Amino acid sequence: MTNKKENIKRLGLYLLIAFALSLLLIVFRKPMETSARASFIITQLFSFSPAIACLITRAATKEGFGDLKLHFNFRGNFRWYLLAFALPLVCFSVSMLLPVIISGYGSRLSGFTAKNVLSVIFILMGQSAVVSAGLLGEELGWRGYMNCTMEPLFGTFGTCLAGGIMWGLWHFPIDISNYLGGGGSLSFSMESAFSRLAMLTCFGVFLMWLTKKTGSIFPAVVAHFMFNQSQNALMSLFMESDIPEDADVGKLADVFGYVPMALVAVVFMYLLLRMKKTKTPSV
Amino acid sequence: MTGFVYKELKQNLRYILLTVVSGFIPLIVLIMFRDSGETASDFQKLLEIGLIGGLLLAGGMEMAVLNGDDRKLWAYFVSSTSEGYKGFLRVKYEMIFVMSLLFLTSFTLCEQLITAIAADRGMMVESSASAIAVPLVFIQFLLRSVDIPLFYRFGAKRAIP
Repeated sequence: MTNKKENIKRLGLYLLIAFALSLLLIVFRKPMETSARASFIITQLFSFSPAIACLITRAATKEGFGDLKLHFNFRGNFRWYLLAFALPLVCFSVSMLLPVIISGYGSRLSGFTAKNVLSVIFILMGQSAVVSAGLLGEELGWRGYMNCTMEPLFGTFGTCLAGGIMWGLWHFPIDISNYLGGGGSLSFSMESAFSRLAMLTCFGVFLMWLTKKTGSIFPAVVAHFMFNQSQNALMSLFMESDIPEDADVGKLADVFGYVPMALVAVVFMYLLLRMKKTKTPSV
Repeated sequence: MTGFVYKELKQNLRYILLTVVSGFIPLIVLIMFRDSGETASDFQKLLEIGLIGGLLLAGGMEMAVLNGDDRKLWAYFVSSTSEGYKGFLRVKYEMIFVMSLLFLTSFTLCEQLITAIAADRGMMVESSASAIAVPLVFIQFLLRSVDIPLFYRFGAKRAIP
């Protein structure tokens, strides 16, 4: 079997297992509503499904487990760990704060004192060092296996696009389960799903660059953790501010919600393509 | 897998697995004493005591991985590698760090499962133990930062009373 056929087979098996486990959220929706234990087990299976899919695929295709990218590779790469921590926080700060400031509510950001901001940053630093390990369940699969298998087939740009779409679609059961449970409308669920798909496709470019630059999935784990937690941390500071509940920032919030992440995608796509060019010797 | 990582895994797999198990101590106690846990505060106490016990056990496992390298044969092996003694120490520190992460992850999973079991029994248990676990794990790092250099400088008998 050629390398291309082998990669297609591996990728197909990996995606089949990952998506089959993600569909458990829809299939077992009723038991999850009635039993907290069932909800816990299914949620954990869903969260770890990319890692489970990676390990099963590697075992089934006899690839071995030698290149899981589980070394930290701190030497020479510590600055990229810091970038993984800081960039999502900066992006979400820009996307959430700028609309508020431009709409004239800048003076109402009383929760954003130096003490509050510093304490949030230190808490996030501590948590990202230890609590983020749970996200290995996703990154071992997406960046540690799927991207490596996709790149020989689709190229770097294709991998970022297709990989991001796969990552976003894998989250679809979360978005649709609320509607299926009777809460929210279908249009809201679909809007949430597509919004997440766009954000994750853009953010996935940064994660792929981090993984290739450091040869480790741990910076991607830290960045993914910060992507999830930055929004919660910023919302907690907004809750302490005295912005009126009926404050309307209009379309600005919609636009600014995507612009920073889109810029990140463009910059790191350029860096990825340049990295590829540097590694490929010219004839 | 590089030489040192493979060596550490082969030598210390049982300690690494025991570290994961130590995070599940509250669940093991709950299974052993099925009739316990009548109120939410019982579950809360179980989690807090399990955290302390599990953390102490995990700390013991982390120190146990330092033993076993005191034979001359290992010194020859370490010297023969390209990374040398610095690489050996680096991998030791990384492995002990990963063991702490494994304990924290397994304890967090255990706490969520116990909270779910309590919820099925109609009780509301606050999942605050894993929030306490994070600073305790950092204290664990502080203790290891003192233990490990003393161990390698003075040997096991003098460094660890």
